[in-house]
Amino acid sequence: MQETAHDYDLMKLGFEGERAITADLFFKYGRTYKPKEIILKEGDKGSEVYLIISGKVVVTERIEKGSYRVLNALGPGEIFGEMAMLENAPRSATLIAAVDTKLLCLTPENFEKIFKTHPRWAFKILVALGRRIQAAFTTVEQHFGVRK
Amino acid sequence: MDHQTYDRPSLETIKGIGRPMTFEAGQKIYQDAYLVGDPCAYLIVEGEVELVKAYTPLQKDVFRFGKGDVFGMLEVYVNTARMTDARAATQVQVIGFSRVEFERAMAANLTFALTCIRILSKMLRQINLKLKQMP
Repeated sequence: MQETAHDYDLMKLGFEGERAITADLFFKYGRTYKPKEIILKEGDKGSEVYLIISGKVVVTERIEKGSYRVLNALGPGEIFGEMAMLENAPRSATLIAAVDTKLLCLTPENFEKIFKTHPRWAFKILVALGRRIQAAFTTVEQHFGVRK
Repeated sequence: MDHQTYDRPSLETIKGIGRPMTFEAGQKIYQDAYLVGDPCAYLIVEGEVELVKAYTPLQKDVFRFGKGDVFGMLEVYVNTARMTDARAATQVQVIGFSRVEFERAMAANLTFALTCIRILSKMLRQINLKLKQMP
């Protein structure tokens, strides 16, 4: 398959990491969110993967209509949305911008191109998932009154 | 957890990176709150393993792993002590990896890397489901 200029940008991002994010790359794949703006909703279908360039994103679960409980917070360099893509399942949480936030939004095909270039992306996702599991264990422990 | 499949050449490559180990049914592989040792992560070649997260004596989550699954890598990248107990549910043959060996395997084989990610992703979904069911 012939590589395009887009592929080159993505592979550069894959090899070099976030320092390869340029205005040009942001123009192609970037999105900006205002505080309290919903980025993706629990239960929605969607398989894009997001990389946080700047700002803060909170991972929430809906308690009742219009009310959310914060489970975790994510910052620059962190990835989200990969769970739905890898498992071909609906979104597992609602993600909301906490402040002005810039993201790269990548289709599964584009994310795959990046993922294949360098193992850093696999490690990055492992770290992200590990942190979320740790936070979830802590929340369950707190619910049962376990003190560490 | 879903049982993963590796083609023979890729499994041989991964096996060559780590070292084979056997645990008898019921044997503890590692323990909650203990420091991550060497090996830190394991690929199951044959048999089944249970990871148990006990919140109280009565409340626990059990994550079951089978042939082709990888476990133990959860704590390595969040720099924490073990968060679960790991126990051989049957006699189990595994390949144990040090941190360096695990990173080599991740870099060498995309299927292995994706397997590790999918396993953590499923664990997270299972815990999130528990969280949702809590009042």
